[in-house]
Amino acid sequence: MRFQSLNYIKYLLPLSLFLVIYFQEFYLGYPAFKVTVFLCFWIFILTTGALTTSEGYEAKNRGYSILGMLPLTHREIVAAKFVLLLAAVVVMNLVNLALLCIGTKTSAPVTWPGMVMIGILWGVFCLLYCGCMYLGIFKFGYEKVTRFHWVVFLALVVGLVFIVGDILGELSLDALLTLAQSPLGYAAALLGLAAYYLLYRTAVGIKENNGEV
Amino acid sequence: MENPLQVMNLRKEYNDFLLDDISLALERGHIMGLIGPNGAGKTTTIRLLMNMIKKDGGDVRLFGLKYPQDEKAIKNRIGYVGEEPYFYQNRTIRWTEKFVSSFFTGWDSGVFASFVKKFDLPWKKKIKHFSKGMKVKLSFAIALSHHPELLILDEPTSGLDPVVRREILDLLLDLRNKRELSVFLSSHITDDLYRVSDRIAYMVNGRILITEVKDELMARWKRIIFKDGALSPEVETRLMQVEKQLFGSAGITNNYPQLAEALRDGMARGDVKVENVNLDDILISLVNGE
Repeated sequence: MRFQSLNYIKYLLPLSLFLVIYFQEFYLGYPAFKVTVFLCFWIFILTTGALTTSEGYEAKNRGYSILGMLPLTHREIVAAKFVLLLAAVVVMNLVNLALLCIGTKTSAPVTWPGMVMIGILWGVFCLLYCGCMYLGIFKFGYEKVTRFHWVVFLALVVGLVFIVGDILGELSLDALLTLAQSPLGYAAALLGLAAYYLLYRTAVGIKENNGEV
Repeated sequence: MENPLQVMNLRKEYNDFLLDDISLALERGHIMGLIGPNGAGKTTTIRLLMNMIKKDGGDVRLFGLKYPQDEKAIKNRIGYVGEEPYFYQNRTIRWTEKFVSSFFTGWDSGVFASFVKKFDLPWKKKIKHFSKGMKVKLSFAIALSHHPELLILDEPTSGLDPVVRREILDLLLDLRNKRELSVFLSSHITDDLYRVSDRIAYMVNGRILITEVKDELMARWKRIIFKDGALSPEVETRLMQVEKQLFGSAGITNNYPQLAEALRDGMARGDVKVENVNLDDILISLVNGE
């Protein structure tokens, strides 16, 4: 990879596999929906973790100064970050959902489409969150944004895993099927991707105006 | 042929600093030294030349090309060495070359290897274990290995010992003479600039106060040492930084050719002496004059 900090993404896949398999075993007896929510949360941890690690690496080495002396435009630098993030989220979601489906095959195969929809929406959420982080990093610098990120991260741990997870875990199979069959889910995903593109365009503008923060 | 560097009315505004009305021109095969005290705006100017920050006004052209549309073409023709040499610290020179070379269209591995050898740099040692001098040398090796036509250097010799400094400066002169390389070099180490520059630009408080051929500048600026009463009041008021000395006074003029006639009699009597100033003296006069 030409962008050094993005090399960290290659470590995501094995880590993701390990975590998915681990929780697959641990949560085998729980309702599929709750397992889905929990596993999706790991995608959030991995993507934001990869982002903070790679940007931390850039900050430590003044990577943007290095890139600034090379024949590269700001647009190319930002595009590389956003495209690789998108690729990482897609791959992780596919692996996650595949393993999830294998794990829950015998208990509730009818829930797969619903789980896939949750995976897609959650993936889009991760992209938007990370896109916003990039915006913040280009505008305010790595340190400020990671501080803010940890507050959000802890709030999500408490909110999503312990509260929302419990509520969703009790939902019926009908609710899952409804979600999968509704066009609203796909529309939301498409809107999310459009918003991700807008975040990219905004990030390019910020990078061109601010240079290295 | 277009100048390698042409800056017109460049402007950048921060909350607490204004870089204003910067105009510079550097011809092919020339070395221009940018001198200024800390905080004068030298690094800001250079970052603007590299498009690392966005200008608020004015025009920057390198080889007649403009940012942002020609950024890749421009940066393929220039080499840059910053004040702090930045690298991925956990990597070796071999890895760094592989990384950097993938971006430059004219990268020459043979030239890079020759610089690594010339500078006696270790290929396999992690860069975090390099001294500052080694990092600067590596920066130069990278900046020069794609056959740039213009070098932009931001205080490259600050913090280096005199031996390494001399080595770097000699390299610049050699490349200028052999390859007609143009160099834009900022520093507050005026000895270095005096040694290599053809043209000097003085920057104080975000403005360029002087840009001039070095020899003409040195011919204009002189220190006049005179016994009390040896100069007419009219001449004495035209001197800057007049200070009392043990056997009279001394002051600096920025227009010696105009004063030469008025000083001739005093010099013949031995009451007036004229000495060369150095670039520091001029800088101090300009800063005090501000």
